[in-house]
Amino acid sequence: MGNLLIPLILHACALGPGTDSVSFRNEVMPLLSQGGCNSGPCHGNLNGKGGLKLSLRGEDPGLDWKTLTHGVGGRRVNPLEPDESLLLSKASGKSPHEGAVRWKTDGHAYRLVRQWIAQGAQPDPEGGPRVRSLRVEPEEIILPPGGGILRPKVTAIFEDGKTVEVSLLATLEPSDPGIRVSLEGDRPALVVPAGSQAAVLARHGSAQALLRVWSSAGPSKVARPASHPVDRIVGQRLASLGIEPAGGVDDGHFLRRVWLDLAGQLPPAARTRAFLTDRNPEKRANEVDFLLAQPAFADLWALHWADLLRVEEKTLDPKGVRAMHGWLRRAFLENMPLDELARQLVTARGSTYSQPPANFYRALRDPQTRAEAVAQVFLGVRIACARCHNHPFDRWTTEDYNAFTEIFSGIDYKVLENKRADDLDKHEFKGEQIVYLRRGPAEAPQANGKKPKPPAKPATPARVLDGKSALESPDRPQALADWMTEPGNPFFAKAQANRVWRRLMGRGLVEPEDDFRLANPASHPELLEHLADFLTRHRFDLRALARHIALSETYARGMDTAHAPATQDDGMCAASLPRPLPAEQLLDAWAGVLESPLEFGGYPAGTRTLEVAGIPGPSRRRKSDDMERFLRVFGKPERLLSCDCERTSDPTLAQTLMLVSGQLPQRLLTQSARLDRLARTAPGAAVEELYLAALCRMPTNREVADCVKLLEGPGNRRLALEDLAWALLGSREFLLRW
Amino acid sequence: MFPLPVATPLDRRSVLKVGFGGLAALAGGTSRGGAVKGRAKTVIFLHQWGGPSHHDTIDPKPDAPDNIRGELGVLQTRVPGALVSDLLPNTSKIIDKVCQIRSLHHTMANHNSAGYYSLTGVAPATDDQRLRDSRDLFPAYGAIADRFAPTPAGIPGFVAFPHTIADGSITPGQHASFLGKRHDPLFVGQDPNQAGFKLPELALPASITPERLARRGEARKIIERQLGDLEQTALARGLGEQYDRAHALLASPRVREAFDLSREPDAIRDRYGRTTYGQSCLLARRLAEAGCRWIQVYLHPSIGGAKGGWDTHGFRGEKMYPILKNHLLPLMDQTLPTLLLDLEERGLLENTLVVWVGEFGRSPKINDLAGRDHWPKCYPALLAGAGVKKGHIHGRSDKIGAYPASDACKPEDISATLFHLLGINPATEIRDPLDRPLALSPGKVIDGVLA
Repeated sequence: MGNLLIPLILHACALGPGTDSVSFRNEVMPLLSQGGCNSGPCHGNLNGKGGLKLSLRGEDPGLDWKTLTHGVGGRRVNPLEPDESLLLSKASGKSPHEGAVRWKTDGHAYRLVRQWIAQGAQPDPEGGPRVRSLRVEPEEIILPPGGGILRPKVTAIFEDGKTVEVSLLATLEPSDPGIRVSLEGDRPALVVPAGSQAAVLARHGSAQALLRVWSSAGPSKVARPASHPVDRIVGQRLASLGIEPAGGVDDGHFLRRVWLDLAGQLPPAARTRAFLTDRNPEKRANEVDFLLAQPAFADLWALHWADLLRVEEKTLDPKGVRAMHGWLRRAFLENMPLDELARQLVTARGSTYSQPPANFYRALRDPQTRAEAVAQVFLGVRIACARCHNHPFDRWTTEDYNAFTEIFSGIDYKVLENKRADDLDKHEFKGEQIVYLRRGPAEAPQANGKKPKPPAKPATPARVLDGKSALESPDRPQALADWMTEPGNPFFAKAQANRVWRRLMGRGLVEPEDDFRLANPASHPELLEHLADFLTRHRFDLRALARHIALSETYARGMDTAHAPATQDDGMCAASLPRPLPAEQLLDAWAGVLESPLEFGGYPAGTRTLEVAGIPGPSRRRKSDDMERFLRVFGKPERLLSCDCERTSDPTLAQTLMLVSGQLPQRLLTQSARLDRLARTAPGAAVEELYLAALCRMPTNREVADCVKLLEGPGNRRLALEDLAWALLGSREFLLRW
Repeated sequence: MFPLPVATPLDRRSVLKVGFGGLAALAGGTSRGGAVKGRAKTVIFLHQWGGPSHHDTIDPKPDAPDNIRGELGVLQTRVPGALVSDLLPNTSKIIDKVCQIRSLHHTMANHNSAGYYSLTGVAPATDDQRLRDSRDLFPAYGAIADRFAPTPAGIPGFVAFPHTIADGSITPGQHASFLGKRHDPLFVGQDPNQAGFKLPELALPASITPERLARRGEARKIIERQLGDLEQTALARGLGEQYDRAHALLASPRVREAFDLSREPDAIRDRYGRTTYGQSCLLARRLAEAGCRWIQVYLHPSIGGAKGGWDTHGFRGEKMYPILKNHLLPLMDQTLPTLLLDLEERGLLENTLVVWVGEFGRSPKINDLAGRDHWPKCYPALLAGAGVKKGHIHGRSDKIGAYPASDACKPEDISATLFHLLGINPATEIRDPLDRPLALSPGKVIDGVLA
């Protein structure tokens, strides 16, 4: 007992206002967070729990003090009989508590809070010591292969410079739910399972610090020399963790991968055949350069950005969709620098038909939606939570949110006409609109002709995220664009570089790609710095960065038994990450291999799915055709959110049924020009051509034998070819990009 | 390069010493409050789009003034105090099998906002008729049932038919949203009353015979011999499982036959009525027999009109009482009692929970167009079957049916009750796309209806 008292007294001396009084703000409040009391599922809930409502994650100590001392007739804290206080009796389980036991009676939390109550449950006096920042030790650690137990030391640094250890008071939040936090013992401990690569956020009040946990796979090694910076950086990290990366993929595998990643399609069989036998040591680099020069590269990126910018028919109308998509495609064909792209979108104005980027604001029709979308798409930051309360996982306060939103409050529309088909549907706009910037505040329409009332409370002055002062310029979107794209902006370059990495590698260094925050660090921090720096130095040239990544060994890595079963989604880049083909690429791959026509209404024959500006959303007024249904089943998003997460590709039964018994796949097989041709070819050659076209490899001898046997079996040869083609196009080797 | 660890290697003894309390227990989608034993194996949810008036159906007020009582008379039932409209004679005979709730209320006055609420048990942030379906909205009841009380392979958990409902825009709450597409309903958009009604996904294209299907499977096996390490990954395994499930579904006669209404004797088909909704109720019974978990039947794609849903304002010269007399009430009177009696005769009612509810009710006062307008402040629901009281009234409306007089409850209380009866703890947490922990139902189980 004596051992424990000394640290407690030391705490009280430094943290409390007086000589030995316990501080509510600096000691009791953190304990309410540590115990989970003020978390979202418990008393921090919008409606509170069990009649007790605390501020979410302790964001309002003043309010919580009132609630705890004045609520329920003062029974929550009882200075004369501290153990009878509801706060203690419930938390210790002495009184029935749905939240179970949070503070054991012989634990440090119980004792400290009891002491505070016994001292009269006082609030902190004005000007009491405030915590400025937090430090955690170690900041970074490598655990042995079996995992380990960590007892980090957390230190609070006060505004006057004094430091006090607060390990017993801090909340530890691991990014990996497999890591357990134990509050027993002399210090909170993290129980880290084997293989966890995680970040742990230490919190005390509003101060945060990050502890990076790395797990090694074995003793650290010497990194193999690498000339490509990406390989050098990744190699050093993997070596320090004793992780042996998987080997590189063979030529056919590489060809298929790079065609899908840079052009969204499969290489023609003849090209594959030539590539496989080409002896040129530069052939892979040449292929990358060839693909970067194809219009398909622009189509791929136009599609991705059309998803992010909500280019859909109901709000933009079909003409607007074509205009916006066309503009994006041209921008990517001309290799418009990404900062210029961002600038043109954010400062867009004018007619949505003749100034296509204005559709950016046509899709985002109120300041909050604009602010959230801009933050997500350009800065990689999710601020939506801060709309209602201080962001629980990040540093954005509601004030930050309102200040950022204010940048967009002046944007307004002249709806020249709206020939919507459904009178009741106010989401539908059909006709030209002009996006303009209002000078002066909005005027509420007054039916009685009187002057508009001033707004109820003054708007928060417009300020960029992380900005120190309000924006002075009256053209706020312009000021925003300047800030976003200036060198040294902490968000833009990293967010865009991360996006390009993610498109090629299947997982961002920061994942999700629009969730940059302290507690969600990059899996390879130095690599992210390098890529952002590369992008900036190359003046935001998308192709330059894509080329840089595609020429690395890391990009060409495969997988092997050692890496396959483990959770590969740890961003370590030790092996490739399999992912399903996106809907558009899958449909194009089927139609391409089979040489079957796809007809998109309003587009010329031979248009690929990748080139289509958009498909109409589900509506009861018109029946979706089977191509639209196919694409939707395989995850083509409706473009209602500014998030790539809207494209869902989790394998579903509906997808499999579509392949097995769906109408469209069967139609493509029936109408296949290639199969018509192969029906007149020798079976061995037919098998080879199909394998090359679909899987970019030669069949093994055994495969040839078995497939030929199948083709030469009873029944119609053309139908047998269909069945073989179906199997190739439905095999997992085909359906996945790996 | 980095400092060697200061941590203790993880061994069994240290793990036991350290213990496992703390925040970790709160993270993730864990169930809280203990396990719940379910009484219902199936829920048949009959969604009454447009908003039925209780004054003209099951909670009439014969003693109220004319402009509230309306034109219809009343019938007694076997349940004391329970009257029904005189155009529902068959319904009056089964009121003793049903548990009525007359005190539902909320504040959403628009079809899409209230509709979303009625399909998910979660109120939208605002009463927005423009509420647009997107992945950040709450999942449909059936998707939750499919996720937390799944059916065996080969039997779809969540089935919905025969319409998608909309009022301008498609009403949110009909899909799995952020729970994931795998929990989307098996949706059948065809009319069960038409000849040749079948489920397209479960029917192979005519040219694919079972022999060809088998040959395709064989060919895929040949090709996938080369999968190697890819096969070990979670993604590849998941895809493999989906193939197995698809084949099981195609091979299993059970579900396919359930959809084959031609197997049902004409007499039974006539009893349900040869209407889209009538045959849909029959299909619901067949799917209950096949073992589906959540069967959602939509009355009509539109909220109102001469042959549509319950939205009888009297607009556009479409007067309320003719529509009630000629369409809505006969339809209700033919379908609901038939379904309940049919389930009971087959011994299915003990394990099947039938729910009849709309998105709101209709105003006590008849308006200038001789119709009734939206009224979410007090409206009814009917429950029958597994785990609910028979012949019971929970929660009364006041003298004129304007506000709840006792035991007021909200749509989330209904959802909590339905989950509870399925054996799903309504406090179970799921995470939305913003990673917020949300309970499956924010409401409370209505103990008063439980048997």
